[in-house]
Amino acid sequence: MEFFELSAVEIATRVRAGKLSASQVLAAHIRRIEALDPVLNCFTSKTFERARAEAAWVDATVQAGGDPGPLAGVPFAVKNLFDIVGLPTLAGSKIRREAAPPKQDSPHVQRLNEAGAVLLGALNMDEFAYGFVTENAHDGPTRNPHDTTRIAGGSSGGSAASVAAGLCVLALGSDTNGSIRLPAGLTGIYGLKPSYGRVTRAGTFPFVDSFDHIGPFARSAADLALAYDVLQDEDEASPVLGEAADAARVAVLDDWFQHGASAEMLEAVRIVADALGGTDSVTLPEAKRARAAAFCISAFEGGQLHKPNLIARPQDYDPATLPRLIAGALQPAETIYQAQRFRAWFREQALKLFERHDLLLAPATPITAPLIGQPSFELAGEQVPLRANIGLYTQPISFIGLPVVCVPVASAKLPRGVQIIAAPGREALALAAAARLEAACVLAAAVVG
Amino acid sequence: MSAPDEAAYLAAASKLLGLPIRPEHQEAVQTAFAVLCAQAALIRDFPLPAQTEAAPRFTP
Repeated sequence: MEFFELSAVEIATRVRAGKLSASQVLAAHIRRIEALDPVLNCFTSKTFERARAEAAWVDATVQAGGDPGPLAGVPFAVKNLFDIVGLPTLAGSKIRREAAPPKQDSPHVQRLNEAGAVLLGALNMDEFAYGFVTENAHDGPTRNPHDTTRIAGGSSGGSAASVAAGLCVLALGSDTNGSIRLPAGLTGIYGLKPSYGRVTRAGTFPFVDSFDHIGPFARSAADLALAYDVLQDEDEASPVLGEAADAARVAVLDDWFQHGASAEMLEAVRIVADALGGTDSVTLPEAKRARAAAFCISAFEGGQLHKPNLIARPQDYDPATLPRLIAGALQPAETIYQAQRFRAWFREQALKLFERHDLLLAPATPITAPLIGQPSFELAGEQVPLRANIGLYTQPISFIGLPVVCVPVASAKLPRGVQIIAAPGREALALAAAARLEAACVLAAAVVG
Repeated sequence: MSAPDEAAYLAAASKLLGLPIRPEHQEAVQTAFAVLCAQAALIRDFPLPAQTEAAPRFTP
């Protein structure tokens, strides 16, 4: 096995034991990036000099008899909306190329560094996180490692593709309406969108205050849980992996969450349900309206956030972003007020479902990865615009802040992601279910390319 | 709301809120606004109990 195929747990275990050097692991990943990233286009900035210093510190600490931490020598990278000392925090934009570089790393980068992980750089995304495709007008599209003519999803497309291709072992992204779950699903890796508010958003460029979440990507359930444990203090997911999921009451979300999904995506949900013993179907009522409310609030809050630059520099926005932000900012107050009221109502409906079930299942996307530049796809026999509709099944869930692990269901064709949705604060249960599925050989997330 | 009504609203809101729409962006903004209006109708038409509050809850 090549070094770039190792998991975070395997790397850290061997590095801490002095059986593998962080510098060797880093060198293998740098070679991998240099070989594949010219095509995949995941990285917008590379921090290799910094990474070499961090890896040298890890190796020196081990040699001196110390412990560099639970992520010793694990190469990681972050969506380019996370603060990194010395680099402008682009958030996928042209406008922020002139922004003053931050004086300190985001708390997430700091925490991963303090745990011994090694930062490789910043990753491509949709402009200001407003999209699902990572076809960035300024930095170009990120390509799916499973088929480079296809999108990696977005907005954290660089994060997902870099992990799937073995350019890094862990990556961080953000999820406002599906921007972790959707690219994880399309590239065949694991992604965690924690409960709203559980992981700090400090040191990241915002999009929609009501829905923004920060979370990790990985190629195994154990790596995902480990990254999550390093990112927050309230929970301990890693130690309980494999214990809690056996007794979980599992149900498949029907109605909105199955309407229009392709046969292969519905099959993926059935495979997960069967492996977890979930025979029930339940309805989360009015999910279509929840998606609508999330759509309007996102455009409004994003538009208001950007208003000064929408006035001063509209020509510098991605043409795919600009009109949605302007239109969003000009919406009537009634729409946003009613959407927020509906949010409270919808959350109550979801919490009622968790009285009888612990985990709910839904596809991450209606289809597998579409082509780069593809304008539309077929949903329930109708051609619908791709950018506006590929997040149909993720938007209602982030709308009310529920924690979700997106898992890669094994497939002979393109990757298929399934959302494992838990009640607020129950990330550990969703992660344990992912570990159980992994042990049952239902999932597949090996390095591709 | 009809397309002319949406355009009239946008022109008025743009002026009132001080967010100008350049002529070259007008068509794309109107298209985006029409999509938002269709979504907004789904929320506006849904009756909610008077007790359902938009305010966030602070749980210790």
